[in-house]
Amino acid sequence: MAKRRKSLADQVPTEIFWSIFNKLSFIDLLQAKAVCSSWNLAAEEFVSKMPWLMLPSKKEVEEGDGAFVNNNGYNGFFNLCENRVYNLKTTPMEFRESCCIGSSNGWLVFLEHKAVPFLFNPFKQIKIHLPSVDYLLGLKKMERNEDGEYELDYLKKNQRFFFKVCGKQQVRECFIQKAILSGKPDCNENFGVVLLCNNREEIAYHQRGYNSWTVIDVSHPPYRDIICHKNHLYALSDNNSIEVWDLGGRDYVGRIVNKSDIVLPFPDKSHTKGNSVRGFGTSKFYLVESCDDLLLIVRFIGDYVDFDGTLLTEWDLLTETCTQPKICPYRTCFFHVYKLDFDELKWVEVESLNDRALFLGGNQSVSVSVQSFPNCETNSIYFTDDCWEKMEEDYNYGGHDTGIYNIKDESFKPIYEFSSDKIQPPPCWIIPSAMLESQLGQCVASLPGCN
Amino acid sequence: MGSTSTKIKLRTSDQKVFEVEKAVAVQSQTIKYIYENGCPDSVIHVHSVSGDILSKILDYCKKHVNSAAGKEDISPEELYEWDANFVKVDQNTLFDLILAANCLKIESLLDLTCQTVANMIKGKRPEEIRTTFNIKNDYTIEAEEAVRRENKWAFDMLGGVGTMVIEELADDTMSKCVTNTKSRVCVIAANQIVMMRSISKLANKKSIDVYKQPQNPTTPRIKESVKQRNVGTGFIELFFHFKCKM
Repeated sequence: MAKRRKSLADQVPTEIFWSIFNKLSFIDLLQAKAVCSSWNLAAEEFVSKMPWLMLPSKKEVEEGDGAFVNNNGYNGFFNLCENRVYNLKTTPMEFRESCCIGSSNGWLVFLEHKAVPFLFNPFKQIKIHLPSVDYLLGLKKMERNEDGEYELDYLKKNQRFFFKVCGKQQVRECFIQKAILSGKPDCNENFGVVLLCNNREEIAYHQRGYNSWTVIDVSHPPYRDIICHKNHLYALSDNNSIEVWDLGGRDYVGRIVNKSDIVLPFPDKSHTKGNSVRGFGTSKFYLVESCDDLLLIVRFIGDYVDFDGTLLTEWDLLTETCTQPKICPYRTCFFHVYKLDFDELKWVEVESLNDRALFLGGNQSVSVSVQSFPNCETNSIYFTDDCWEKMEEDYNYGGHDTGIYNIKDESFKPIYEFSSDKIQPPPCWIIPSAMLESQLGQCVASLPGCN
Repeated sequence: MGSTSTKIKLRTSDQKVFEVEKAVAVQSQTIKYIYENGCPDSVIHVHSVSGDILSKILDYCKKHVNSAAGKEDISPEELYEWDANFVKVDQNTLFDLILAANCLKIESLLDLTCQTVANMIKGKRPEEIRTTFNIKNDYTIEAEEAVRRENKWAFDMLGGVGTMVIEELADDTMSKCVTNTKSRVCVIAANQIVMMRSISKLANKKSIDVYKQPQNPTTPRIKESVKQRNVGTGFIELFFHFKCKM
């Protein structure tokens, strides 16, 4: 006769447990976590590996007039596994008042007015304050006005103080371009924060437990992208060099040690293509670590892209018959992907990402395995809008250049659609560190500077 | 030709013998492997499955084989209904089916039974889930509160009680906290919220004084004021805001 069982968890093997949990939605997994400790561990495996796209409130975007967007805040979290948005009941004040300056290892980095950055984990609802960046950015004053804009008094190149009123995206354009983390703040581990700031000219580092920002000795500013990998910092410069620093290593005067500095030729394919579209847009560059390889991604954004993909110039927007210029938002037209060949020291074109997908934008550029979440598109680049310099130039658009690009057939797919193109604050990926750890280190070659 | 009328004998853990058509039995990848790699004439021993359960499983396999082969006139919707009724069993039987389907490697049955269990979890609060499956709550007070805190986010989204509270973490590692009242205080870990239970005595107080024990015993104790919030679930939770003293 069947015995009365003590508990489901005891009787069912772990892999079946996981098959059951695999069928639960995010909300149900959160409830399952609170049942008992073994369910907590099982559910956490799923919850900690979900990628998210953080979005502003649909209502605010679609009903707003496009003018006063600096008071908008993030409010929704789009779960890529389930293809659905989870909205907060109210937008927290932190989201409204602060400017998002980065997303790394599942944590968001925000800059509050009064020039104080903080880390925020939206799922654990934990906030960690960082030292003020006022000295670093030369900010004498940073206040928010009632329109949500920032009023800044700042020192430029040791000259006089400037007064500027700007929106959140301009803060990102001029002051802090990107903030990334090395290490994980989750478990009270030692971690650090790296900022690419001051018009991409400076890189500053803060180590947990210390009270200040250290400006790193850089050789080739300005920089296009920075990433952290295994406690090393990699920076891609405008002159196509890659510099590497060991964040754990210090020289005899306590400065962070530069491990290597490689100058690489600009890839031919992008050079040629770049010439053919010169004047029609801008290029952005990303550096990604993927399975111990270094990838370079070139992203071309057309300034005015017609609905059929034609690149236009500003003159084309005005015709004799129209009283108003045509509305043609900027849009990403293509990506080129390259891999670093360590022996020949050059970028080699990558035809296919195979079983990886990339997440690029205002976050730390990362690569994940296609197996890491259901519905992951293969051989694709998930991108968000990080064109800070263009985001605020028009009332009709900004923050809209988001989607999924398939490398093989060079096609685009939307990820989440609003009925308006003025999407502020711009969507941002949240990729938890557990997703990155699931990549198996099958590649033996290690990045320069890590030996 | 004629292979579909081949019979396979199966012996269960309670020594019952079943004779079934090969096409039905090989729905189980395990049986299929044994049959193809072992001696086809002998009896296959399914030692981890009882007679009752195997009987049910064979019903399932037979239904699905017949439906796929067109031997039975049954529409996909009707098969779906049949499956739904098939899993309307008591919990013990359901888990026996899961274990057997796993052991016998019958993927569709395993998927069906796992989905059934998942459906029993969906939409339920943790207490309800524990009751349904008779699970013991082995959380310590502190650990349970840490998990509940994460759930608050979910409540926010479902329009439940409580709003998103953002905790500031202190930079120093505080490891002990002492109150000047008689209530118990639990410290989860450094830099996490501190929860109090049995707070009925404090129900009428707006705030209590808490003394923080610093690392260095010569430093005077720091007094923090604690705000009290009612989150509507019967608990009165106290959140400490540790001011960052850098």
